Amino acid sequence: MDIQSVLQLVINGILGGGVYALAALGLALIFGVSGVLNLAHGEFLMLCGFVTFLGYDRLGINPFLLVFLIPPVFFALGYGFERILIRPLALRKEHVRLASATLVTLGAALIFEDVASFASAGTEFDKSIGYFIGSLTVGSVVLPSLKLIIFGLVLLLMAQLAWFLKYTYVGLAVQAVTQNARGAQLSGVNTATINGVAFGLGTFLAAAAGALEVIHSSVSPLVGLPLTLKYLCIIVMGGLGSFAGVALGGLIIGLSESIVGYFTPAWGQTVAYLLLVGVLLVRPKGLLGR
Amino acid sequence: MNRSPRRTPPVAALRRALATWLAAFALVAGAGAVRAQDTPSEIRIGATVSLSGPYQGIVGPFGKLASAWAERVNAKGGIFLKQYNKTLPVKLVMYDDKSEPTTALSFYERLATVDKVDLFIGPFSSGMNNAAMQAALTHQIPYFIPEGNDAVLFDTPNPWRATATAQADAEYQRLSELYARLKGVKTFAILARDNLHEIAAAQGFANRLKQSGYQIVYQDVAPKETKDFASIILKIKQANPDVVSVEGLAPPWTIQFLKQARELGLAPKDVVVSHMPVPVIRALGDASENVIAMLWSYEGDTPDHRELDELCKAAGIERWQYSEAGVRFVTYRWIEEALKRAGTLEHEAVRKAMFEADFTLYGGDRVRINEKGYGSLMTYPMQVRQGRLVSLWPLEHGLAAHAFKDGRW
Amino acid sequence: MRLRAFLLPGAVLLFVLGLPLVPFDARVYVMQELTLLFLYAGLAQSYDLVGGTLGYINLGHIVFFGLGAYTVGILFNVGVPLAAGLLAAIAVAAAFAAVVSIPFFRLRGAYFSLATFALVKLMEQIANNLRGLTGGSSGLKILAENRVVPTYYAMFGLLIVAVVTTLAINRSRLGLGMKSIREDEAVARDFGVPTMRIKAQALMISSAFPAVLGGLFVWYINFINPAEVFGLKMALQPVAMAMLGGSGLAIGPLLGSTFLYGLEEFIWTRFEHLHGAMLGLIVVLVGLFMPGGLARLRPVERLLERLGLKEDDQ
Repeated sequence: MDIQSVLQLVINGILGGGVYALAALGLALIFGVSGVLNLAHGEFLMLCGFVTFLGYDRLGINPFLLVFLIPPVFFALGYGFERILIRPLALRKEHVRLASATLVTLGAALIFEDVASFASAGTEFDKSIGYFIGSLTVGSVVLPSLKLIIFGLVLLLMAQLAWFLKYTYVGLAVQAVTQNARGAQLSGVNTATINGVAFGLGTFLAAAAGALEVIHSSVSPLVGLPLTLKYLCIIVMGGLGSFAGVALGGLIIGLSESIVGYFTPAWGQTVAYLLLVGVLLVRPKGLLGR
Repeated sequence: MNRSPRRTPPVAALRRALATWLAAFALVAGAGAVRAQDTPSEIRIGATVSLSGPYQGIVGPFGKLASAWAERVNAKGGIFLKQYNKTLPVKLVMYDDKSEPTTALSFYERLATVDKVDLFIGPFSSGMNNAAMQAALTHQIPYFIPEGNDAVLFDTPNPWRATATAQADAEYQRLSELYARLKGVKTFAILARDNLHEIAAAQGFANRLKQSGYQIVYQDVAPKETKDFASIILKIKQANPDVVSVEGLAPPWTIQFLKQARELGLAPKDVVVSHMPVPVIRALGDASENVIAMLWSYEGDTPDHRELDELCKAAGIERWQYSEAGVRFVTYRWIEEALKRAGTLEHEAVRKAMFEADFTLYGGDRVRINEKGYGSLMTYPMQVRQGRLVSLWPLEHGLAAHAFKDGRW
Repeated sequence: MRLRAFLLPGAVLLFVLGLPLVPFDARVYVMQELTLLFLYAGLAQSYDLVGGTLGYINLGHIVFFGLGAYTVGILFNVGVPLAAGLLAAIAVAAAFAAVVSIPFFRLRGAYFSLATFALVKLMEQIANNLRGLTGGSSGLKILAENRVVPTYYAMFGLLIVAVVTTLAINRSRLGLGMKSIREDEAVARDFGVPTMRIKAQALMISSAFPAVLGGLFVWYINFINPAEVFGLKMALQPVAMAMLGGSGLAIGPLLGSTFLYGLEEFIWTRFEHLHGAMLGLIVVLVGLFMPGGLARLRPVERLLERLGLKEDDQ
């Protein structure tokens, strides 16, 4: 296999891993701050993709515009979700809280999934915008322009997130709560609000990922739960509590799927899980976990 | 706060419980006593249709198609059954199988035990029929398979199921005949979706191409959940095939592959996509021009052609938009023929009549079922022209009308 | 008081055992429904040994179910009778449990849960890829026959065994060890509890039930595929049922599975659409307002006490 092909596979993998990383980061934020495994995370991705598609398909709005307009709404939705469904669980014992949160988010995921399925009856089940805007060709390596734009937007969003976390009070508070919730509380951080912010932010990222996903690939009402579980695997592999670990995890998954998918398409889909098990067996706290 | 319940001695309590349960049993038994019916008042047909899930794009409208057929039959009063000396209307009981085999099976079980149907129309695709037809065997109810022609279905004995189409291995027969005579291509790449039918049909195509002297430079299977085909497309490009053949029943899978192939610069002389229902054509837009496909029906002007067109219209579609509409039409006709021949709703008699069916459609296509359960219907090669499927059949006409895609997306 | 505890279970036992003997119109259908209920209850009950008593949320419980189903199915197709096949299934599951417990039990909390879940997806993929052995994504078929009645009794019997096993473990030293691990593993270890051994034992015991249930399942339904036996729904349902009913209590999974399954059936027959959404809503409400599950609700606790079925809740 020549160098151009390897390059093509690596680039494909990186481009693919980008959107994964974005959504997984959102989930990592939520887990890092509130300790809740939000099983409804993927549903928000799906819902935003759905809405973006409708905006494009029925109203003719440019989907790239929608990428900037709609996810902020999902920030509010995520915040509200936390407020209504998660905050009431705050005072329960750790073990009970985990179980309750699992049930609550799972139930919510089922609701979203079914409503979306129902709303899709009679129309296309899989929603996909998939513009064709040509490709850049460098040698024999083909770079689909759409994927490049999407990747660029992903990097933009991640940079914004990094800036937010490092240079704003709320961002620093988020980091503090992730590292040590009790300590942060003692330092004067309102952990309840920060939990809500984390949910809002995480959901915002999932929504953005969903909008991007429907533009370059597709979204169906049933993608939510499988994606959520895949993202959970990515963040556990990267190490809970480490955002860099998540980005790294997403990248690794993207690359592996691309490379393995070249040799055996069958295993390309499960390489994520294989890697997770493999990594955890060697490093029980994940790659960069604390 | 202690509310001391009235303590009854344990033995008496047990006796009381026992008495209650016996009474409950008696009630249930009495209320549900089987009431034998001498003559049926309707013909109950059970089926599932994929109204959601990956197959929605290829067979979604067929619930309406079946209803349109039932309405048409009932407009004439129904089907005359000799044993009861009555014309009985058709009643359809249909569920959404969500494109999942195990969901389909549980619904067919329900159709058998709760809805108590007289016969089944199977779901879409060999994969789902493979699961669902177990119910036919368990409960011994005749099972008409509309689309399901893979060896796995017919190699294990099951006298209760049959299909009107020829076997999956032969699905590419007429298209292969076209390519056997076509000049200008030498190598083929074949990608199949990882599913029962697609793997077998694709292999059948590969075998026939090899017999004609073609070289298969790439043949592989991609998982159902594949959304990113970039690696696969790279490999196909490296094999440099003249023709790329895609075998997939699920429109979302096919659409993603085709779009990405276009994006990544895979530009062969011809593109063969076995199933091009209108959602796929629409998703590709102009890029679908000159794609080769296969259809289970073709243009014509016989009364049967017209009836098929009317049924499709009643279901809100056009004949060429959903290939399997042609198969469904044949299946409905087959059911009518079998019931008339059997003259009764008794399962064994209907079963026999199902296998003995022998009728002609479209003024010349004979439909017969062999002992294994296979039928005789075959596909017709088609090509996309300006968003519609036009016929590349009969062979001479097809050879003349065929236009290469030549990498133009 | 002791005898009173047997009243309700005794009545249920009589009802279940006698049902197939009563001729009524919907008999087969009711039996089929109950058979599936017994299946889910059995899965939930055996899951809770590790999820509730041991405190490790094992999302991979269903791996044993799939292993059992495929073992029995493959062996059945080469002429091995059911009984032998079920024994083989138990052996395969126990071996698998023993092997995975060593590396997996080094993980804690969410790490453990997700790693075990990843194992499910892996098994699904392996089953998909070993076409020659398992039939791949097309699934595995065995000769179809009407096995409704024997499966009904067998599944019920297995559920009883699962409940009795849970009760027995709760009173045993193994159970004490498991609960101590659940409460605080580090302290338990410091006190000399052989944590690795206990965890492995718990997993192996809990693996036997889904293995047999899986074998019975393929024998009953005559068709399985990787997407179903290693699927999301099958994997999450026992967990949800156990949590819903009350994880850690012997009666919890029973309550949870009966409640959820009954609700599913009710919704399914009464409403044409949005079944999943309604179920989801119920699950959300239970999660919000019933921490600890149905069995720990005050009125339910009181009812259980009157029926003599209340257990010590640690």
